[in-house]
Amino acid sequence: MFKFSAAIFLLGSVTVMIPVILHFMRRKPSEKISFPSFYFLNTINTIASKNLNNIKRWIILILRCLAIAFLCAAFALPFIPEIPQNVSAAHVILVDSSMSMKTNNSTSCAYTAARLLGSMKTDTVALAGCIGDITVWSGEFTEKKKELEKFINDNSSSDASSHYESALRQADAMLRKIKVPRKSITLITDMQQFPWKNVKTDIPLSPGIEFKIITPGKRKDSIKNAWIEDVKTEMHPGNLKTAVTVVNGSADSVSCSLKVTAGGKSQAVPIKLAPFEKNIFYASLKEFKSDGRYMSGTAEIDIQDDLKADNSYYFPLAGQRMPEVLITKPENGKTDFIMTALNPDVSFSCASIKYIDNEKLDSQLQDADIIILRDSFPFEPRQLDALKKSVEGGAGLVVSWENSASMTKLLKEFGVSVSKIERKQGKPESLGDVNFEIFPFKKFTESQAGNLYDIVFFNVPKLKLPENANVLAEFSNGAPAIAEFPCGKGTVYVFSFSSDRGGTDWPVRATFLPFWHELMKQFNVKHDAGDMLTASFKPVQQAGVKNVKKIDSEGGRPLMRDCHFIPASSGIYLLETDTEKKLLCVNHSIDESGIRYMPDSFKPAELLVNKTKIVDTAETDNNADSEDGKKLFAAFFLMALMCACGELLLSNRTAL
Amino acid sequence: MDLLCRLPTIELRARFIIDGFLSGIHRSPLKGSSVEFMEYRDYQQGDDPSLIDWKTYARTDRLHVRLREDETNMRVYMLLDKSASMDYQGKNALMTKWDYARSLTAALLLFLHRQRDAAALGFAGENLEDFVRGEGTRITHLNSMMSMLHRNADAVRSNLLNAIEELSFRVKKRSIVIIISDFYEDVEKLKTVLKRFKYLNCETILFHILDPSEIDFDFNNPGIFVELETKAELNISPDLIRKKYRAVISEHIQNIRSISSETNGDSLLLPTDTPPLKALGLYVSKRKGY
Repeated sequence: MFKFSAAIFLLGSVTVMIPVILHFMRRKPSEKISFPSFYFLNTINTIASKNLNNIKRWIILILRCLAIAFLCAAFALPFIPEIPQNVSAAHVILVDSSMSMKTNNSTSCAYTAARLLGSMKTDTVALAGCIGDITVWSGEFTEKKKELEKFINDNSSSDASSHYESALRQADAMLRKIKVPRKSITLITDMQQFPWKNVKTDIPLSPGIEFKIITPGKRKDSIKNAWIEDVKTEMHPGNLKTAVTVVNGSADSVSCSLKVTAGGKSQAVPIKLAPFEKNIFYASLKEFKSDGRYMSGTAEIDIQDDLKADNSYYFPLAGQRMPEVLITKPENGKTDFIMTALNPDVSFSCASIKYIDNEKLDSQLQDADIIILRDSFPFEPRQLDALKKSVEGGAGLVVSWENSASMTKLLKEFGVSVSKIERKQGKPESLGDVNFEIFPFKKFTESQAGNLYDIVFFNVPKLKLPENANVLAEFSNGAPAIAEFPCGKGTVYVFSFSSDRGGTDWPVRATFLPFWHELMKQFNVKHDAGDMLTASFKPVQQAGVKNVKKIDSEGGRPLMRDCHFIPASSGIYLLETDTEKKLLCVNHSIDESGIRYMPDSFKPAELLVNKTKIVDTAETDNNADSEDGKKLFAAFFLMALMCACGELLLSNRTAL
Repeated sequence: MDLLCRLPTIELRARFIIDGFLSGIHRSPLKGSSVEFMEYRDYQQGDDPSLIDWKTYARTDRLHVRLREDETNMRVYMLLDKSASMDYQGKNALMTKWDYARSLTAALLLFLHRQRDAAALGFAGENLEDFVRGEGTRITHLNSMMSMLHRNADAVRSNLLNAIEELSFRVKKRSIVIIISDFYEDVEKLKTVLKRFKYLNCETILFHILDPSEIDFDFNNPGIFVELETKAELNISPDLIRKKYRAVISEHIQNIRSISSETNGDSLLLPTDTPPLKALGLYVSKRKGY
């Protein structure tokens, strides 16, 4: 059946009465026509022709009436409504298919939907939508409830979070399009607190649309879940201690294994939790050495529960951040190869580098993790003391030889003396023996690392190192090329060559950059994680983020929206803002893990409907512009035309 | 035709028709039909001695009698149907059938007068009415017959067959009988009466006068048809019977033509929207045969 958009034109069908009235008025024609003789007419005008005349007159009347009726119907713009006629109500069933609904009783949601559909009358139509990151709809409003049950069964489970706002808006828009006496939206959800935080209170639903929420099973034991709430770490020499907070959100007690992994080390600890118990468990990673390579670890519980995403937790390791590097400025006109190596690209920086400022040297030394001295710097005695103190406090020092008195003096402060200095241009040297078993050269055991033996060094001195020095590389003449030795808590690296082109051609070789990157990793950062590496739970949106990169091995893709980083999946992210770079350790949301129940007094309609913003929706039944509508118009118009032609033909009119 | 209709009197119309007819020919259609033409025959006992042509006797020494003019010219008997059905004018016609018939009759009378043919005129009403035998070719006779045409076709109950039969008693042998009518009669009965003229060696010319609407039945709207003669009424839808009517009228016209030829005559359908020149032509062709 069809309806009419411009039903006012149907009033024109009243004019059908005109030919009817005329028909009865003209049953006996009043016109008298003179004719000379009925000699032939008497025989021709038989009863049969009279009857035929009557039939013909009736047919002409019917055709006239039909022509008028079809014409009126055509201009009334017929269309086929989206829903069948005689429908008393239309329902939209929204099913929360977020991660929290993924339970052992996952069928309870579908069962609840099935019960709801089964309770509907036969003269109602329904539409189903499953809410995840996007809302998946079943199609058009339909009376076929079984199809909707199947749709809900197939789509009510996902690992996404719910976006009710979008789903409610869409449901409201769909219900506005149709005209039925009753309209309603039913939301089937476990009513988690977290999803409700996303619901904006200024979403207006159209007037006349009922809204209600159904929870599939109100018992607390309907969902079984345990999760890791927090991990705290303590770094001890050769030992990483972790305190893991685990929560059991189930009505049953749980027994499982807690495994902490960091730096290639791991420990498994059996744990037991009573129903709804929260407890702290400890795990230690012995022989753990924080050598700068590891920034985080993971804690995992191997429990078979309904939500698995919160069974693992990323925790940052103390003090891991990009080192603050202090470096001497090169001489005017000279290329700063070390700076370029440490910061080759904005997105690929391994250190925060500053040039030594003589006026701020004291504060710089205080903050610096690594000091690189590549030429003589006129340290005042006070500044030299500060430098030494900084190194002894844990900072690293890299001294690149320069043939100058101040350099000699500096090295002497740290126990390094020069036994021989080439006064004139000596033959170039290359590396003879390199200790590839330890950093920073361990990386160069990889085939792609490049060849260190091709590097040429000029005017290399012969340095005398402290006894506790560790020679990492020697020249081919046996003199130490690179050596390290501890100085208090810090480490001193001595390069027996000048780092610019005058002393070596290393800066222009492929091994230069990776060497310096490896070198930076050797230095421990003395600060705690602080603001450099933080752990957070979803959904902590980070504002002002220009770029984000996921740097751990876990799957997932960073989600950016209008310079906001949205941690859609757990992992470790490198965030870059205008002012800083920081690492963010994102774990699964506790709120997603925790199950909350709204009180009975909670009325979601009050939240959703802002009475000051209720919009009166206009009738939008005009589907006459649809293809079906155009076809119907054409069909009715054609019928009217055909009836008119038939009338003309039978009545033998030659002109209107 | 339009000009003919605008002529006020039938005399003018007659002249108009004759002039129109004669303008189309170059010479008199009837050779030798002049006042001077006479015919001789041998004197027979009992002939009027005043008719003896003594000049011829002087030349030939034989007695010959001069025949009277009227004995040499044709007698034409015209019967005009004055039934009420003749007083019909269709929407496309410019004059009624009666006016048309009268005009034609007047033209024929004038033509006959000019040709020195004797004419007789009668009207078919219930019977043969107002029959006037032609007494020579005097103008007064013509005028009197013309004046007879100034009447209406008002015969309520006309009986053409009776009139024709009655006429048949009055016609002399070897005459031309012209019947001007719409011939709403039974064809067989008409044939029977027309045969009488055949036996009299008379040639009949049937001028079948019909209005174009009688032939085409081009009525559009249903209506109450009223017969002119009897005032009877019929509720008719022309659309329904037009086709059949046309067939019937065509058959009737054809039948009229057939019986006229069977009875040693001829017929001519004259719709009232066409000039009656053909009628004169037909008469002339018949007259030639004599």
